[in-house]
Amino acid sequence: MLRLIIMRLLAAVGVVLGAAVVTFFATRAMGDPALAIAGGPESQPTPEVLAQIRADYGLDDPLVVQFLAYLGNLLTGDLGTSYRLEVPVTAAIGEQLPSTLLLALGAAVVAVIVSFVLALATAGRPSRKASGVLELAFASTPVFWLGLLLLSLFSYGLGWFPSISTSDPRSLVLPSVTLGLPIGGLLTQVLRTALEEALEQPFVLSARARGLGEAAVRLRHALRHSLIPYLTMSGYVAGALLGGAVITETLFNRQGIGSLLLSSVTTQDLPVVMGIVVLSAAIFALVNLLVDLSYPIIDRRLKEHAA
Amino acid sequence: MSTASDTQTRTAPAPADPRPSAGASAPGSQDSEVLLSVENLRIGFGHDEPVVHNSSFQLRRGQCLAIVGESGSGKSVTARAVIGLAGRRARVEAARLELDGIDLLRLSERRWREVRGNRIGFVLQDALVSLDPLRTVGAEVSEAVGAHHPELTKAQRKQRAIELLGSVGIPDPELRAEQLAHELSGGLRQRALIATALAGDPDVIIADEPTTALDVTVQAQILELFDELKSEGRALLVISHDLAVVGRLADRIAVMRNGRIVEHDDSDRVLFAPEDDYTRMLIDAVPEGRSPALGEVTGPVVARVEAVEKTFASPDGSVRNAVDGVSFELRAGETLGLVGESGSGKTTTARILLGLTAPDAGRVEIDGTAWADLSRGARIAHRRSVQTVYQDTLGSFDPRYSVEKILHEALGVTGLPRSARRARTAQLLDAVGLSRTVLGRRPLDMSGGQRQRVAIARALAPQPRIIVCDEPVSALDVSIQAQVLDLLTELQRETGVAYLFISHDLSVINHVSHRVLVMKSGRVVEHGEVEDVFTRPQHPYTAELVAAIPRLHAPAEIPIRKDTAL
Amino acid sequence: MSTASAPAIQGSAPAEAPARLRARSGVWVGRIPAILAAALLGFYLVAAFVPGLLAPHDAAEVNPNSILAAPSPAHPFGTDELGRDILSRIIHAAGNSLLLGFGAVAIALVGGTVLGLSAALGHRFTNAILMRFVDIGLAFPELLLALLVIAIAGAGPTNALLAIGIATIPTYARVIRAEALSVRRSTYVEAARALGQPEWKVLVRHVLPNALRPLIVIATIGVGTATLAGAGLSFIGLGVSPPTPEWGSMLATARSFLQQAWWYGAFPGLAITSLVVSTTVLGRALQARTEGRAA
Repeated sequence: MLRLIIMRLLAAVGVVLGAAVVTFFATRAMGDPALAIAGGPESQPTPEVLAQIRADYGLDDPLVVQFLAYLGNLLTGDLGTSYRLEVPVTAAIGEQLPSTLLLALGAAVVAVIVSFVLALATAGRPSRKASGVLELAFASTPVFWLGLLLLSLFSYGLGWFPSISTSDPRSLVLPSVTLGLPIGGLLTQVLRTALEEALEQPFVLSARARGLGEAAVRLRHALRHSLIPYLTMSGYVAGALLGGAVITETLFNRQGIGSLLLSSVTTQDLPVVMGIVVLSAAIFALVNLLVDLSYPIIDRRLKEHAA
Repeated sequence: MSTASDTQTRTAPAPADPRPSAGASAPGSQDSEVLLSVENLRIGFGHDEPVVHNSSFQLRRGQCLAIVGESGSGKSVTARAVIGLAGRRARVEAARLELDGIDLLRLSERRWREVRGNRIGFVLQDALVSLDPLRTVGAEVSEAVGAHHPELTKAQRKQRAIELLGSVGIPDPELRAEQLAHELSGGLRQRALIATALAGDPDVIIADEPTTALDVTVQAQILELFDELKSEGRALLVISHDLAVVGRLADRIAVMRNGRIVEHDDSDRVLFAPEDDYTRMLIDAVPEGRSPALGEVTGPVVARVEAVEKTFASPDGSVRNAVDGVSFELRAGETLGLVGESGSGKTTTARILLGLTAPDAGRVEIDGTAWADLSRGARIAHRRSVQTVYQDTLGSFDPRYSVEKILHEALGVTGLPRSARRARTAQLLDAVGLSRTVLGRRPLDMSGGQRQRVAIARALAPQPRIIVCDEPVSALDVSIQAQVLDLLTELQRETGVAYLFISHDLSVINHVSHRVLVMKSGRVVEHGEVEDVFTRPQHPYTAELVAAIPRLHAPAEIPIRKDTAL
Repeated sequence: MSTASAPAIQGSAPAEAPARLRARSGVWVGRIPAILAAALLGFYLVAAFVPGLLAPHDAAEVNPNSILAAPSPAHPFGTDELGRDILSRIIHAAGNSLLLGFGAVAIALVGGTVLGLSAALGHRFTNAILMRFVDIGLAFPELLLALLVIAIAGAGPTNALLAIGIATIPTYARVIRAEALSVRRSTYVEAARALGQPEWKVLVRHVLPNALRPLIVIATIGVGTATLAGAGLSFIGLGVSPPTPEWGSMLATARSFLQQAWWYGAFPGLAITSLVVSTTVLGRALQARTEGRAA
């Protein structure tokens, strides 16, 4: 088990490092950071200005030197300095992280509640058709449109929730639902399908023949078998949560990593973009590591395979 | 709750069963108390035709009734209807469906739950999937105990579960209770499954194919356990496709076909003096003795396997000897049966013969040429001399291919010109007894028996010297099985092809083979003429296998060693 | 219906037969969603190529007299802040929105197929290297990877298309690799080898056609999700920008007028959602068909 954890951890670190390397070379190969620092092609900087910038930022060093410097900094936790904000990237990100984590947590809660309630209540029953329509509608709705609809209805129409984010906890509700509902739709599909497959298994028939009630059959037997595909999908959509945060935060004028990323992309503030990308790869790797490690707890048979 | 919607209604008594269970000669048990009484049972799904029509039977204390039929006969759904689990879409109607005075047609879901497990225990086939694979067997049995004795504490339930596991003949029940189903051997898991069914101490046990997934020696032991349950005074309802298996256990047999009971009487009468044509056909289809069509073997040696070995590394680093020093010869026109239980190395041996797996040591010659001596290209060309028929025929065909394309591809490897393929394809279809109308069809749209015939035609197409038949009839109904076996024997006589015939079923091996090879843990433990091996087995393992063969026309008492092969 | 559980060891054919019968009797009822979905997709395609045919008004026609007018017979979806007919703009936007979707899927398909097949069928070493790259690609949430591409290459419709296409390559590569590996291990491929077919013939005749069969399904569903992603980029101002009509950018503008005109925000989004729903329904129907043949 310990060996498994270490192996997976190393693999995750490898993926994050790989992500950093790919990001680094992509930015150097496909664009001119000096131009970006000067404010993009529209600012029409003179060659002298560009040369000055290159000298200031060490961009005229050989690529290998730049890369080693970047890698060295990365390993010590230094993600560079923002071109635009002129503060360390880690500081810029750190300032915005709590707000986004709160949003992601809210969305995850919405998604988990929606999926568990819908899937457990409808799997293998006539109501599954209605649930299927609902899941498809949720999963197909763009975050930005759902947000607009919710704002139209609950904020401008009924006035139940604020339209922009404040310290009021109520202002977290609409963004969480906006971000969480499409993911909830996807997760419901996965969980319901898995539950229905499990409910068809002979061991469920055996359990029923033993005199077990429906709730016990679903919760004690079928649910556990459905958790593995559910968790796999959860790990996968953790990424969608981060991506969706960009749009949700823009929509509700929320502070956070998403709005920081968007403003940095627009201004080609590459160190911040790279920093956020590496961070999200790390979070994604961590979530999936936890998912992987949970498999043998759910299914003891997987422990032997892993060993 | 899903079962709450079963629509169960009482109907007016319909015309009686064609063969009422009036026979009055059941040994001993005929006068005992009737526990389960079913009259004119009809089961349908949705608006489709009923799948069970007017079936009637009774089950008495201490008696075993077997319902026998092929797939689709309605036997399993009958069993499920008796326990109220025929499914949400099922319409269950009967003039009478009573368990010891309880009218099962009017039970609420809540009352059903008291009946299930408590009054009727239910045992399915293959405990590997019929016990929750994620939970320990102890937890499964405790759960069954708790379902009927909610007053017991967790520790008491566990204690009771361990007692139950012990009572069904599981050694070290404390230890076993902590294990998952897949960690137990097939026989122990099936016993554990039976223990869950006994947790509520029911008087009626329904067993749906309870021994079908088991190796033959284990099968005999489980039948023994059922016999004990019967002598404790419980009533058994056994569902099976295998007449020979139930013949050892049943006092009465009901033969079902297309949803109707076609013959229903004391088992001796049904087995030895069947009145219905279908029953007779089923009994005749049980491979017994040697096939009269088996030819003499005079041909030259076509395959020589010498001391082959193959080991596989397990993921945990340990090494497993899949095949350990196996040698045999195969002559033209000969069938060599290869017997062994799951994991004994049969399939690896076959793959080595086919040249698809290279042995670690030893030599395989086909027609005098060793695989190892051939270049890559020559080896590929040489492959056509050994063909194969798989157990999973559907998976062995490209899902996009029609029968015509399948056969044309197989003919193409021999270099037969396109113009000649059509005529040869027609010949092949004739040879395996298929009509030309199947040419445009895909295997998915064919029955199991037809698919197996296409597979045989494909194997014959390159005119091979040897065909490896890997469990070619295990997936087929018994009547189809007999036809396919006859076809194989007939083709051998015509073409002189040699078969390596792999099967777990000794009756089938006995029926079609000239010689037999018995494998255990990768080694050959016995090798000889079929008649010698079956009548005078040398190795104790073979003796055990032979003793465990279910037979129709054999003395009922066959000594079974209870302590082995668990 | 057959008996609910024919023992596993018996033939599978009788158990399948009822499924086929069921499919036949319910042919029309079962296909209605797929037919509706195909019709809707067809409508959007016509709108993309000849919007003038379907649009009741000129999409660029400004009308100061009917600014933000509610839905009415003249303007079924209402008008926008310049008095333009929203329905006509949605129809004219179809081309721009779908171009993002189809273009991105084309890139992802080509890239994913090449990567996935080389990984599955190539040398073990190639497989290891390629799959590490795919793993790294998969570690980025798709939208983030797209944003990274835009950060480097700049905003705009072409870059948005490229960004989404590149960002989805890893997903496609993984699916195709898994499919190719499972086909390669199938019994029918072994059967072809046992017949004595040369390796290249096995590859061309059996492995490739079967491994690529699910492509049509994932591409169909992919068009919907890629169009959605493209609209998302336009919504945050990185894809198509006003005044060019595009569903995402229309919604971005609508955001400022939510309090006055709910219809402005409602209908362009409905277009995106209905497209995603119909590609998903259609994709699943195709999947059911291919799997029905393969099962």
